[in-house]
Formats: sequence, structure tokens, C-alpha cells
Amino acid sequence: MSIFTNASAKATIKVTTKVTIISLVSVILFSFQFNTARAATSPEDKIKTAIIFKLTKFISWPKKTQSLTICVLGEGSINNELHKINRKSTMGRRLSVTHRNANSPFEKLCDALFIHNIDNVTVKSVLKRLEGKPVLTISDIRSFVDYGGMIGLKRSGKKINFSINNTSATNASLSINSRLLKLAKTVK
Amino acid sequence: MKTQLLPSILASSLFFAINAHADHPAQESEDDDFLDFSLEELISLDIPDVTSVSRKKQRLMDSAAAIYVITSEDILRSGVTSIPEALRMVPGMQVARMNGNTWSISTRGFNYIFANKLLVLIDGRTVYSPLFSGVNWDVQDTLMEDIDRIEVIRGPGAALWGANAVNGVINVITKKAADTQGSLVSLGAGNEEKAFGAYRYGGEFGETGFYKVYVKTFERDGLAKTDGSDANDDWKMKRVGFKTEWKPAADTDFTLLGDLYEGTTRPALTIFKNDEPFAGDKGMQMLENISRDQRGGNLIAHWKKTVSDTEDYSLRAVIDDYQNFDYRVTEKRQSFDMEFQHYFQPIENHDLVWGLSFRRTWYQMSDMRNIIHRDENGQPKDSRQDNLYSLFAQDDITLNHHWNLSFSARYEHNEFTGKEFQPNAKLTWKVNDNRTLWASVSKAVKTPSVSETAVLSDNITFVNTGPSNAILSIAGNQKLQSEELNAFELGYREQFGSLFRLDVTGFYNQYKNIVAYVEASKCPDGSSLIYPLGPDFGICQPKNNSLISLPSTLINGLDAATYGLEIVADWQAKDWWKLQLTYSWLQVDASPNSSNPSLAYALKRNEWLVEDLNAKQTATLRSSMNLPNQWYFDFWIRGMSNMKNAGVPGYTALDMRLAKKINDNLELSLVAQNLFDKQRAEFTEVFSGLSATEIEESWYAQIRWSF
Repeated sequence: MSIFTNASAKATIKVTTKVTIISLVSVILFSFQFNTARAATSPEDKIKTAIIFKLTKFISWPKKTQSLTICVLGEGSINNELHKINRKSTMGRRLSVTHRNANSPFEKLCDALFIHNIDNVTVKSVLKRLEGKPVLTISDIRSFVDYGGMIGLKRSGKKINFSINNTSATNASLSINSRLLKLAKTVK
Repeated sequence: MKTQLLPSILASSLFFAINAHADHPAQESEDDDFLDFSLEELISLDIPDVTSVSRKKQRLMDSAAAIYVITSEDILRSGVTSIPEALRMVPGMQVARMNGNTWSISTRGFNYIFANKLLVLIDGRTVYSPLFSGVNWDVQDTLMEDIDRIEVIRGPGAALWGANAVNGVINVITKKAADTQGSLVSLGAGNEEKAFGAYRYGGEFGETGFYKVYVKTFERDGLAKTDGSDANDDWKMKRVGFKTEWKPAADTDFTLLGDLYEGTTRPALTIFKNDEPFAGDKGMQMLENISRDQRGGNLIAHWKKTVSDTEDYSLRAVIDDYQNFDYRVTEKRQSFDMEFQHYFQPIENHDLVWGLSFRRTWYQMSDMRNIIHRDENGQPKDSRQDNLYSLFAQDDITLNHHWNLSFSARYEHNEFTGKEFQPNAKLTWKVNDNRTLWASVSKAVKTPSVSETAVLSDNITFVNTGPSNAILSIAGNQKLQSEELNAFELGYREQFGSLFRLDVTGFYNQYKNIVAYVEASKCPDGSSLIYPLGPDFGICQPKNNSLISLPSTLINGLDAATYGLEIVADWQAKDWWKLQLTYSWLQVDASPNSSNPSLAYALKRNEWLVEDLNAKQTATLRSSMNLPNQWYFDFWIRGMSNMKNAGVPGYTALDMRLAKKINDNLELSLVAQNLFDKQRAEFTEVFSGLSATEIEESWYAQIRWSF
């Protein structure tokens, strides 16, 4: 059917176009009404979690206790994955994963701290507070090791690798196994 | 599904894509898998995925479609320098180069430079030209090193991707900016690939942002004429592009990309110039060295909000500008596309994707010498605007661990035929982790294009009537209906251990209302025919000094059945040697759908045309070897049986590539294409006015340096 001259068809098109656009827009607006039901975990989250779990096997803490507490600071889908390694054992120590807020006394509560999805100001202030304290700091935040964090996870291409700030770790009396240093992308 | 980690030698190969871990919402059992990996394995793992089939990621092995993925490694190791060349790897994809810059690319029949039953997307942007009913392959390009993969679905993908995805969908997906950080320089030179170069730089910004920019330029030599002399149909392009992605919020991804390009080609045309003093056929002439300049640009924005594992929203907007200064017509086209998509699980085991899309296209035509866009009264019309909107939905039902059923449908409204409905049903049977069988039934339509409804093409097609040449004009028909396809497919995939893999697809397609060209009852200018040679042979009154003109138009005059088989076999012969063999067999049987005796001869002629367009058999053998001391050797043999209509006998071609990696960041390579072939015709045709030229043996050297 040709519609170049058919005025009623043209009108229909205009109306339908309008309806399409209005419904598109309303659908989009409507989509913001949803609450986050359960954050999706991506393969990336799973791999990062596995890496964090493995990292703990290469670190020696000054005091060896029965349990090893990993604190998590920040909100996001990876938290679901991190909770799955709760109660697993690493080098004879039982892992305990707990979520904390930015003002928690990490140096009292944690052996390791994973920071993600949080503003740089908070990151810097937390790192400042933990300077020299034997808490292994890990994050996937960009330039984390430049701020003085110990292990920075970084996605590059389809792979995830990590950088180590060995100076920070040594200052905090944590010793990092040389095998781990070899695997790191960069060591400061 | 158990994740396996293969040696890095295989990483990103097709094997890897099959064995590797792909995240699927329905699988909970693998949650602890990664924890059993060593740290070395974890940091060397990557995750490929396939999105084209179901619009959500799934394992290649389980796709209920004849999908083939050209990986980035395939592209780099084969030495191909353009997207059309890369498509020669796909089983059953018939790729033929007609001249310096014109390609005929199609699958499952209907091989033509106006191949209009294939949907081609680059990063979600559709690149079909409605005015020419085909793809201007010469401007579809990007940085080859930055192509992540090309997913090709043979067979209808219409329910999800839209009309014209009748015989297949080609989806070119470029790498993320996050995956292409740092600098890359690629330079090369050769006898046919005279000089080419590209530079890309990728960096970071903000807390979550990545960007990359690239420039690319090439200059390709013309092909050869039949007599061996240079055809002068050179092909030059310059292109700049960028891609950037960032996360405005933790659950939101935003991607913005675009490119700008300009270039020129010089395909020779054989045309008739009405304004020349005429003697015999002298008005017919070959125009050489006329530049066909093209330029364009586009911008794509993609926003995605991930609510949970089983729910996300995305929105894509595309603006595209294309300008084509062809001798036959100058075309300027702008389009705007918007698409919304929502994926969620309304009830357990149902993965639902639905979406809406809208497209508006604006055209301006000028200098309409041979391709004349006309209004309904046959008067030249220099602009038009078309709208297209559609609604699609797919429900993917996991019946149990072994059976999967999927229904999808698309409702579309277009300017030419109004409403179209395209449903599809697929069933997948995962016999076990290494064996999958699938079946699919679909309906798809090819809607008429601008060229078939509103364009008169004149003075570029010549037929020999005995005493002299005559001009065949073809006038579009506003009353054309959509071509319809009912398609039936069966597929089988099996992974034999970790070394051998087989993928077999069989199909049977029934087409109705295929467009055919028949004698028109009126001349292009509206005057009546005259019958100097008897009642069966109407011609238009030759104007002063003109050739006689035979007017024709288009009708939905044919039905056709096509059936065939496509096979891919992968063999990891040694841990350093990989082989891939593909074979396809295709049979086309067309028949007139009208018993009107006055159309009988014309439809018979179309029947032969359609049946003889494609090669009946194609085969390829690709070999990849990783030799000691960082040497890499690849060769590629491809064969095609004869294409009767194009007048091209069967041929076999050989390409080779030898590369040496000086270190991780520096690679030198030497490529030879179409070896031992002095020159070879791959395609000819009569309707475009373009002269066919022949491909020559090509050598080039290349250096790739990343830092």
C-alpha cells in the first residue's frame, strides 16, 4: 500500500510515531521506579572474589590467629560473591567476611580490608588511618596503590590482574610472598 | 558446564569460546569453580560471549541458530584487511568482489551486489542502503585490530533483529575502550594494498572511564581489466573514530562511540549518454576515472542499567550521516534510531527480553542521472522521509537441564507494506555437555526498499536484441509486497574431547513473492509502448539519436525453495597447530507464481536468474601454526564452484601469512593473497552499470607495534 498521498495513513503514522515515542519515554521513566532487587553478579565479580581469596594465601601477618577477617567497605554486586567465601579456610585459618561502614575501627576488627565503589576522599582517609597498621588493603579502585593501598585489582582487556605496593605492606609489617610479587603486573 | 582452562595458545580461539566459561543466569552449580583455580589461572582467564542469537549472552555451543564467530585472532592471523574479506571465513557465506570497491555478499542464495536479505550491523548500527538495496561495503570499516568479533547468523534472525534479517545477520562488534588501552601503530605496504596505516590510543579518565581514539587510512590499487591492463578503480579511505565508556553509577554503564570517514573510489561505469550526438551504439560509453566520493559519520550512545542477575534495561540511540556522490545519483541520507530493551525473569525459568525501536530516515537526492527517485506520478522527487517502528519480545524457557525452548516475535510497521509480523520458535536439546541438537522454525519478511518502489534506473542496463543493443529501464513498483520466508533449520554440534569439534546445520527455506523484473505496460515517461516488431515486443519510441528502450518494472513474481547444508569442523591437531574446515552445499529451485501467459517468458527468465545466482558449493580450509621462536604461519585455501549467472567459473584461492613476533609488543608479518592467480573475475552483473574488474595476486608487509 502506498502511503505517500494517503492523508489518513499519514495521520496514522504521525499518531503512531507519537505513541511510540511517548511509550518509549514512559517506559524509560518507569524503569527508574524500580528498586534494586538484588545486584547482579558478573563473572568479573566472581573472578575478583576468587583472586582476593587466593591472595590471602601469599601474605604473612605478624600475628597468626585462628581466623582471618576480611572486612568489606562499599556497596555493590561483588558483596554477594564475597559472602560466599565466608567460613572457607585459607592456610589453616577460617575466613570471616563482614561488611563495614567507613567509620569502623578497621585496625581493630580486620586482617584485610577490601574497598570498592566508594569516593576517593573516603579511600584516602581510610588509607591514612591504616598507615603502618597490619591490615592488608585491597581494592579495585583506580590508582589505589598510588594512594598507598597495598593491592590494586585492575581489569585490563578481558583479564583481571593486580598491582602491589610492597612499600606500604612492609611498613605495615606484612610480608608478601615473592611468588605473588612475580605475578603482579607492577610492584612499587 | 565445567570450566576448562586451555593453554594460552588457544586463548580466544573458537575452541576457547566453546569451552570457556560463559555466565548463564540459569547455572548456579559453577559458583565455586573459580575458587578451585590457581591465581596464575585466574589472572590469565578471559570470558568470551555471544550475544547475537538471543540478545543475551549465552554459550556458543548452546545457541539455537547457525552462528559462526570470527574472532579477533582469526582476523589478525588471516591477514584480511577489510570486513568483506573476513566474511569469506564463514561457511556458506558467498563473498565475491566485483570491482575495486563493490562486493556481492550473501548467504543461502540470492547472491548479488544488491543483496538485500542480509542485515548488517556494526556495534548495533545498521548499515544497509535502502536506495541501492544493499550494503556499501566500501565504507563499512573500522580498525581491524579493534574488532572483538564478528558474529554471523546464517538463517533468519528477523524476530529479534528486524525485517531484512531474512537470510542472515552480520554483527560486527568492536572491542571496549577498556580492552584497548595504550598505543597501537599498524603500518603496511604492498602491490595491491599500496599503503595503509592506523594509530590508536586508549586511556583512562575519572574513576571508571576509559576512552580510545583511532585514525586509519588506506590506499588500494585498482584491479585489472580482462585484458590485464589496470582498471584504475582505486579505493582510498580516511577514517577517525573514538569509543568511550564509563559508569555513572555502580549499576549503570554508558558507552559513547562514533566515527567520521571520507574516501573515494573510481569504479568504471558503462552508461548511455542521451545528450551525445549519436551514431549506432556510440552513445553507450565506458566512463573511467570518474570519482565516486563518499563520506559520512555516526554517533552511538548506549546506556544500560543492571538491576540484578536477571534484570537489566538498555537504551541505544544512533545518528548516522552518509553522503554518496555517485555519477548515477548523489545521495545524502541521515537516520536516527532509538531502541529500548528490557530483560527480566517474570517467573522462574523464563528469560524474557522485550523491546521497542524506532527509526527515521531522511534522504536528499540530486544529480539523478541514472538512478531517479520519483513520486507516485512518476515525477523526479529529490527528498523523502521514512519511519519504521517495531516491538519485539522473546521468551526463553529452560524446561530442564537438557531442554530449552524459545519463542520470539517481532511486530513491525514500515512505510511500504504497513504491518509485518515475524515469529520464530527454537528448541535446543543439550544431550550432554558436549552434544547439542537444535531446531528452529521462523517466518521472516524482506520489505520492499526505496530502490524497488520509487526509483527508476535508466540508461545503465543494456540487452542485446539482435540487430543492436537496447536499453533496459527498470521502474520501481509502489504496490510491491514483502517477500516472505518460512524457514526450517536443524542443527547438531558436538565437541569430541578437547581436540575436535563439529557443527552441522541443515536448512529448508520456502520463499514467496520474490521480486522479479518484467516488461512494463508503459514507458518511464508515461507514454505508451509501440510495437514495430509485432505484438509481443513493446518498445519505447527512441528519442532523437537514442537506442531503443525496453521498459520493465518489478513484481512479486516468483516463489522459491532453497535447501542446503553447512559444516564446520575444528581440529586442534597439535597444541601448536589448529585447522578448520568448512563446507557448504546449496540448492535453489525457483518457480513463477503466476500463470499469466503474458508474464510466462519474463518470469522464466527470472527463475533462471535466481537459480543461477549462487555457487552450489563452497569450502574453506584454514590452518594456524605457532612455530618455535615466535614464528606464526597461517594459510587459507578457499574454493567456490561456478556461479553461472555471474559468468564466473569455479575457482580456488590461496592466502598465506607469515609473522614473527620480536616481542610481545612488536610483530612483523608478510601476507600473500590470491597466490598463483594472475587475475581472477569473481562477479559480473548487468543492472548497476558498473564494470566488473578482476582481482590480482596481492603481497603486503605489515608491522604492528603496541606500547
